[in-house]
Amino acid sequence: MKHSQFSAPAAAVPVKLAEVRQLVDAGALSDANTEVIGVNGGYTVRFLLRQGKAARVLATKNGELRIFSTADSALRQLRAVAVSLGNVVVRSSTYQPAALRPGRDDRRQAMQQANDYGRWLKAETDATLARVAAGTATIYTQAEFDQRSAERRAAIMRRRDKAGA
Amino acid sequence: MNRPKTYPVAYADDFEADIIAIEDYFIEAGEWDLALNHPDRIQRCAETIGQMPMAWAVGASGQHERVMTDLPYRLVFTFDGKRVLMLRAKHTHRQHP
Repeated sequence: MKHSQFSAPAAAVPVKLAEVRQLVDAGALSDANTEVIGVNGGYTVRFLLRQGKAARVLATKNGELRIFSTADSALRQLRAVAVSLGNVVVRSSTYQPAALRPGRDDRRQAMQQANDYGRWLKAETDATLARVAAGTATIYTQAEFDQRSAERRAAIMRRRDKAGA
Repeated sequence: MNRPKTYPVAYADDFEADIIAIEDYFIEAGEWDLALNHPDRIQRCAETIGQMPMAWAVGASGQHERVMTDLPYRLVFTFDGKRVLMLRAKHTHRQHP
C-alpha cells in the first residue's frame, strides 16, 4: 500500500491501547498501515489511517508516548490487541540504542540509605534499652516530662524575646 | 460503649535528649516558632500512643515505631502490656536531629 494515501506522521494523535482495541473492533484499522518505528532507546507504534484522518501513535495510560524496548515486544502487543500484522512495517533505521529506563543505581542507593538508617536507628535504640536495663537511664513520668518540657519552653520563649525575634 | 483503656506513657531521658536536640537545631537556625512547635507536637503524638500502643508495628529499630503523619519524626517505644516507654524521637533522615 502506498504511503501517499496516508496522513502525515507529524499530525499524529496519541491513542491508548484501549482505544486501539475499539478501533480494531470498529474495523477502523483494517486497512491502515501500522509502523513500528525505531526511536531513541526503543520502538514506538504509529497507525497511519486513510487520508484526511490524523495518524495515531500508541500512548501510555498517562498519555505519554509508549516506547517498547524491542520491536518484538511492540509486535507482541499489537498481536494481543488483534491488530492485523499483515500491514505492519518495522522501521529500525531510526533506532538509537539507549537505556529506556533509568538505571537501578538510584533505587540501590535509596535501599542502601534505608538499610543504613535502620542499622543506625537500631543502634541508637539498643543503646537506650541497655541503659534502661542497667538502671542508668532516667525514666520520667508523664507529669515530670510535662513539667520539664514546660520549663524548657519558657526558657526558649525568654531567649526568643531577648533576641527580639 | 466502654472507653478503650489508655496506658500510661513514660519517657526515657534519651527521648528527652532527642527533643532537646531538635529544639537546639531550630534555635540555632533562628526558627524560634519551630523550636517550640515541633517538640510540642512530638510530645502530643507520644501521649496519644498510650491510647493504642499495640497498633504500631515493630520497625527497623527492633521496637514499636510510630512515624508522625504531619512531621518527619519517628517515635520509638516499648510496650510491656502495662506501660508505654518512649525511647527515641528521631528524624526520618539521619542527618537531621
